[in-house]
Amino acid sequence: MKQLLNSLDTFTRRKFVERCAATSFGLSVLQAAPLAAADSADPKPAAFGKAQRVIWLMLSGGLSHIDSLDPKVGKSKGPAKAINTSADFQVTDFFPNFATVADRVCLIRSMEAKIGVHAPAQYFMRTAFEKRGTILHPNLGAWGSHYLGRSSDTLPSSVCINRRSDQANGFFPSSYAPLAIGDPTQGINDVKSIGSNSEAKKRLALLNGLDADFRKNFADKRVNAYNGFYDDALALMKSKDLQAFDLSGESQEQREAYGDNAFGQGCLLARRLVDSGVRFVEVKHDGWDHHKALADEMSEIAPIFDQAFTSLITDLEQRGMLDSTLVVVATEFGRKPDFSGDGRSHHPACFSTVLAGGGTKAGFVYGKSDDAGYYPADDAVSVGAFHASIAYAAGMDIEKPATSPSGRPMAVGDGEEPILELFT
Amino acid sequence: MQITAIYHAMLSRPPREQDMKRCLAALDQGLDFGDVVWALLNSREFIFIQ
Repeated sequence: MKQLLNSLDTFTRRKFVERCAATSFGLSVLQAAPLAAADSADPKPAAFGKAQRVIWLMLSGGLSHIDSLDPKVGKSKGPAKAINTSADFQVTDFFPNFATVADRVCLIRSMEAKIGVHAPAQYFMRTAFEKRGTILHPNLGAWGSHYLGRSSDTLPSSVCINRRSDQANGFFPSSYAPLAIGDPTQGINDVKSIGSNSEAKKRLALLNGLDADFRKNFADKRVNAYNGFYDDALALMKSKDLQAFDLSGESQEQREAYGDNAFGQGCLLARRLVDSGVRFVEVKHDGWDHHKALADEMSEIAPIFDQAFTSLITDLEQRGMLDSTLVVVATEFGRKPDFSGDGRSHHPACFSTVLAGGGTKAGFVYGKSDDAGYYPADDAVSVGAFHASIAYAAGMDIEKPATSPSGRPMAVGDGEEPILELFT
Repeated sequence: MQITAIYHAMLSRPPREQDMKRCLAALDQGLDFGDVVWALLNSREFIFIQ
């Protein structure tokens, strides 16, 4: 007996849980949350709540604003040429397809932030809060669940593609965390129960029986949230909406249009998911950290984004969904105007982001950077205001703050106001 | 014996009388020890007790 126990010691229980966390937290489907009561005495403008869904494209590494959406002449100029677009602004020739749909997007050229280190800057861009102390802050998917409740009976309200589900539910219960899809072409793995249905039922009954005392004695909200995961996961396993996760339901033509790569297929999956009732989808695209060989690396990575983004916008438009779907292009920071001839380092003081659809103005540029691209020259946009604007478009009543576990009031975008000029 | 070993390995405690009864009943219904391990792996007790 003792020998048996010792032989099991090499792999501790705790370690096992840690290793499982990535996958088990992946199956984190939302619980119902009470709907925020609409305040009928305070009619909201037309743009409020137009974006029923949000697709958040995260260019990870730091998109060089000068080499992409905010081309410069003179000393700051990079390897690319500026080209005209279908709207009244220019982009670089790394983005020829984007140029054709520029008349559908709302470009912000005056983003400003302070953090120039990847992980904390990504945290800041996803949550609009600096990570301080032990508190964790929610992303917009979790805020959406808080203000608007769950967006589907069976599907999760929030999904993230090509990344893990960290930096998401923050101080909200883990039932607000997104479902994480590691590989869009695989969809959700392991949704079929092992063995026959009757075996699965017996196993589940055994689990619930053995665990009943513990659940009764420790009716903690984190334990309850986990019970919620299981219920939701089981509902999802039985649901026909599972097809939304399966890209083989798309034509070959459509799949090729988005690009045969993780980001392109991720964008296509995002479109399928929001079409089936998921409210918030993040698709992450790695590889934008161009300290060196910027010209070579941009010519490899920009076409992937360029093709996927353009297909997504066109596809949403053809389905009549662009007006009710907000597509966001975000990144953790820009890149330095000083071009070494080879690459650029991090530059949070000024960068560009994109909003498209969901009631935003089309073919519109908000704010501008100075001649060199160092700082915003006009209408600087903080990450908080960016978040508040998206939340506004999504119909969240952000004037009512949530309360963090320590009793502190917390608001979307750290209390910043939405920028109404971005909307029609 | 095996059930006791599984409980020690996974929850660091012996099975209670009730636990033992439930496990034996499950084995009678055609489940095996793997299913007992699965059930304990997925128990909130396993997930939350440090």
